[in-house]
Amino acid sequence: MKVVYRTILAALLVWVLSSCAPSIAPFSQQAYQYATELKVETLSLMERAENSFADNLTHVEKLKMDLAKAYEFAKGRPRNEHSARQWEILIDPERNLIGGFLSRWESERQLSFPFIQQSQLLIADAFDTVIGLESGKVRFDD
Amino acid sequence: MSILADQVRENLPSMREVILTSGRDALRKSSQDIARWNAMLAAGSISSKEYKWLVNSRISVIEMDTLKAAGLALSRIDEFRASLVQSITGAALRVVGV
Repeated sequence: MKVVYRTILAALLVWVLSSCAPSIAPFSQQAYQYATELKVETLSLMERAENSFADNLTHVEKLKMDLAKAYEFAKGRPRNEHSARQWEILIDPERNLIGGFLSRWESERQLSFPFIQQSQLLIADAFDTVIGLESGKVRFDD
Repeated sequence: MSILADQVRENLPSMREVILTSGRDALRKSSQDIARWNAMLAAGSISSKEYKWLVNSRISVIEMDTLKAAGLALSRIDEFRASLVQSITGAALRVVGV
């Protein structure tokens, strides 16, 4: 009888534990790819900020569009609030990462080399947090 | 109960480590950055406006890093739950002799 009770208890515990939804979205190859490719694209465009913003408008618009797509992708995934919030901070023109960098470039027309270099280090770090979170998520094949 | 205790012993340190490592790294990087920017400001390589912008930028990165640590901790909890289900199922099947 004792064995039967224990088995029922264990089965109930397994049922309760396995019926809980995961706390956070699993790993997404697409999200990982967005972040790694956009990191390269962003740092490369920042190199041009010593030159006139107007001359780089097409590149800036393309990057903004690609960043917005990545943000929308993150925002649309269920239980993915942490990643979505990271993208939001990264692209916000009022904050001081790539969104703010592009705004500053536009308002100042061109930026100084030391400032670009220091901003690149920070924005690379910011992308690394997005990549680090995505790659640390549970993978379906684990 | 011993299964549960084993799982907690195995998984809890890794959750704690994720959060502590992230905090330690953020502090170390911030102090290195500030020292470098102080020197650049003194040398006139960057303006005071740029200095302020960079400090705010570092704060935003810290915020993003905190989100990463929180997300990774949740991910470890999911892994912990999955391994717990696996262990209990295995033990239950052994008890009933399947």
